[in-house]
Amino acid sequence: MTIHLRAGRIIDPEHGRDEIGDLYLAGGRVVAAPPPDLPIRETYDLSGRVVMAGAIDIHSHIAGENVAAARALLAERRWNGSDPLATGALPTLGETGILYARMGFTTVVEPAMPPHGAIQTQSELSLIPFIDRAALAVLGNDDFALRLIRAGETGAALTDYVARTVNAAKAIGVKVINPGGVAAFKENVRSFNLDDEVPEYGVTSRQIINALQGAVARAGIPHPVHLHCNNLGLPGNVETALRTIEAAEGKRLHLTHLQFYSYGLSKRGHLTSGAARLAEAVNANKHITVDVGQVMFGPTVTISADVPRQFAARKTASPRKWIISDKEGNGLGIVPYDYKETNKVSALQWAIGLELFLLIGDPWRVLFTTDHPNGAHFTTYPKIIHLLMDAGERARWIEKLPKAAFRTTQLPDIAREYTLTEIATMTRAAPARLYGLRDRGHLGVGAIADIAVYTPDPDISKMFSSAHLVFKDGTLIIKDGEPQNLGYGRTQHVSPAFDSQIDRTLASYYEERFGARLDLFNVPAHLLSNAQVFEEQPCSVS
Amino acid sequence: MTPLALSEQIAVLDKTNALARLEGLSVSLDEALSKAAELIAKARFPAVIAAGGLASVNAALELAEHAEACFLLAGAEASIKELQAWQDRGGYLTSKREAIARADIVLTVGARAASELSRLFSTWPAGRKPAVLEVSSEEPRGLKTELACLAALASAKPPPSLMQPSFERARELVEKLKSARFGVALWSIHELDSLEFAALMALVNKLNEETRFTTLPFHDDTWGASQMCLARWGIYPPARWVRERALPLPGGTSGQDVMRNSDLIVAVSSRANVLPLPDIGRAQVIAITPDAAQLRSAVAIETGAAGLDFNIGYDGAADTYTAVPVEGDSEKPSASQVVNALLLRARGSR
Repeated sequence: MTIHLRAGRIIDPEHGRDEIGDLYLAGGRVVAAPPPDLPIRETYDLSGRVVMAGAIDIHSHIAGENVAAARALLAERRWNGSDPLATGALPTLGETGILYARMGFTTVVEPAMPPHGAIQTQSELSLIPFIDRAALAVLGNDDFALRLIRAGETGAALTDYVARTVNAAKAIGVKVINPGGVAAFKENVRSFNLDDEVPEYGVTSRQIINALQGAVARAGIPHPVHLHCNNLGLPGNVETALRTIEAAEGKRLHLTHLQFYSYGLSKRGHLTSGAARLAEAVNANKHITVDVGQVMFGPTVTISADVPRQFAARKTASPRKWIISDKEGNGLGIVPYDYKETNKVSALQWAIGLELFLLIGDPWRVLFTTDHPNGAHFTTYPKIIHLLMDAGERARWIEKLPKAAFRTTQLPDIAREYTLTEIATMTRAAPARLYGLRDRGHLGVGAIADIAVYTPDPDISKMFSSAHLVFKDGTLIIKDGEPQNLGYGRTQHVSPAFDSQIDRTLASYYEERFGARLDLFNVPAHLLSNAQVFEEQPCSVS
Repeated sequence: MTPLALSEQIAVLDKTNALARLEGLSVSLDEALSKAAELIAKARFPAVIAAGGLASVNAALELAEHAEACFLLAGAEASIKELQAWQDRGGYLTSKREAIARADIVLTVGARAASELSRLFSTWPAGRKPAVLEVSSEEPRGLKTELACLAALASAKPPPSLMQPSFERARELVEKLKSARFGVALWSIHELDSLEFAALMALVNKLNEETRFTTLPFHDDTWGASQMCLARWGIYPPARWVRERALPLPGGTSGQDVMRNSDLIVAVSSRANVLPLPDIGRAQVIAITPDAAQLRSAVAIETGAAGLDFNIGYDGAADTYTAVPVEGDSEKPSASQVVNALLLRARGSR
């Protein structure tokens, strides 16, 4: 049967559309017209409403051992009152699916899947209702990769290793977190910059980044290396980010949660905004994409596999407890935090994120994240969209925040307001392109019928908090904010080709180093509780 | 979007030779499921107790959510206690694989850790065995005080009182610990109480001011299931039931206390002989296990393996999650299939 969405304002940046029109959904896809054998079963009159593709969150910590550790550390937040999420509690798997769907999101990417913990990550992802999911496999501090880079085997050998890891973990791409810095920390190195050498390996962060960029490209993985740079959160680290952009050497690179790298340093040692310099660099370097990692106020918890960073941050934990775990490759660090409106540093971080959004001109290359939950809970997205679309709303927020926070930012003077098309680009079309997900992020014929319908409201936060309708694969899953038709999406992944010789090499390596069998870390689909849990996306043709 | 796949699972279930009984008398599976759903609908204080890998536990969790039942994990007392320890204070930890790969010094904390060391690390690669140091509860000052003493000695300026001769062994131990390149303290939740755990983490925190040190707790094989409860509910059992029911349970909130206060217990397991149902008082039992017929139960459905269902268990020896094929009679349904079928029936009966 066909579903007819009539007379909505269709905003589809991929096809340059912002116009009143109709959509037809059949067989889980957008079709040009009702097929003769599938007459229209239902018509929704969307007059006065806005129609977009389902939104895509490219970076949100929603599943796996890191998130599990955070839940364990802060389980008491669940005990508080009728709205535990207001206390900064992490949502459960069920809540995650419902809350995202309610806002019109239909695909979410978990950005930090440890390859050895893939089965836990994938188990949990498969239990999130309504939405499609994906995960990035973390590499760049693992012994095997560092050995290859040390030996100069950065061609076929490293490519096969990267491809094999992505395959085994059912990942959609590769995440690199403080490359070399985490390995160096295990050797008690407490500060690590782009050209510092990892003890025992003698390789630098720059070399690791370049080597993995090459391997990912040769493997045909559509998403470029997704990089969490060195020196996250440190005053003056805008220099690190700028040098990292140069280090990309013109090759595609995605810098994640850029806000946390946009800090300058005054002569007196105070934190300043480096957002303008960084935005200029991003604008000038077309091979670079970024996501912001916007901070919003309130209690949250930082979850990161950047163990040295979290180790340093433990002294600012609020409440005063944390978990620091050293594991193979990257580990995990869980540090609760409270971004307070009265704190000028938190206010400056908030302002810097918005500066980045507003000063980077191309909405195809600046993507929308809070690095949930590190910057803020993902349920703050509607408020952020409101801030981007309404300069008056920004002014109202700025009025109530510490004045000292704005001495080094341009935010109060920025008049730019995002349009709906730019919002749709940043939250739908651009993420789909970035991950090579050609079947979504747009409303063209053949797209999967992931669709969000909003009711315009002067209160933009309200508009995006609760969609009027959300369809997932053509099935209605949200109606006026309420979940419908419980079901489970699929976990998107890529399967880059590799020479199976790497399996023999890795098997003996695992036996020697860990006393473990290599096949323990595979994630075959039949192990998970839902049938057809995985869906493969194509790799690029190299 | 993939619809909920229960209907596919039910279709397979119909093809198996499920053995079902009501009060000991053989009945069809359909009758058993109907009776079970009826009991669940009528129960005032139901409890679901589960054992096995993640597939069974997940199915049992869904049933507990539907029935608003307390959820218990068999054999998970230690896992839950460990989760509470992390919740109280946080701390340092590592994985067994990383410990094997990197540790140059292992500190066993408690007698159980010392005795478990060789079993836990039986696969230690040749030539990489670390130096082993010990601190145990047999220390003259007791484990908690000894750990606190070590933490004080590890700080930049140890108190002068610790320079007395009686603390010489402790000072030597701290010097060795500080010399670690990557030290690992091995401990068991079976042995450390919350104060001892806090003292251990304080010591490790001090050591990390100069060197790298972490801890490795023992995991039992229900760790994965405990974490899945956290992922699905946000808190771990049986805390949820106690909070939501606000029932004062005599003697505390142990699993046995919960079962004694329940009027219906649904026992789910993919493995035989693992569910403790000793003194269940007045509760009726629905048993969905390979040894269902041996349990005193109102409804018994014997499970096996249907070839389609695997459990994902935490393999303590390998320190990872792994596929654990459900072994047994392949003509019988798996525990998770039966529970999913019961869930569908129970939802329909409401």
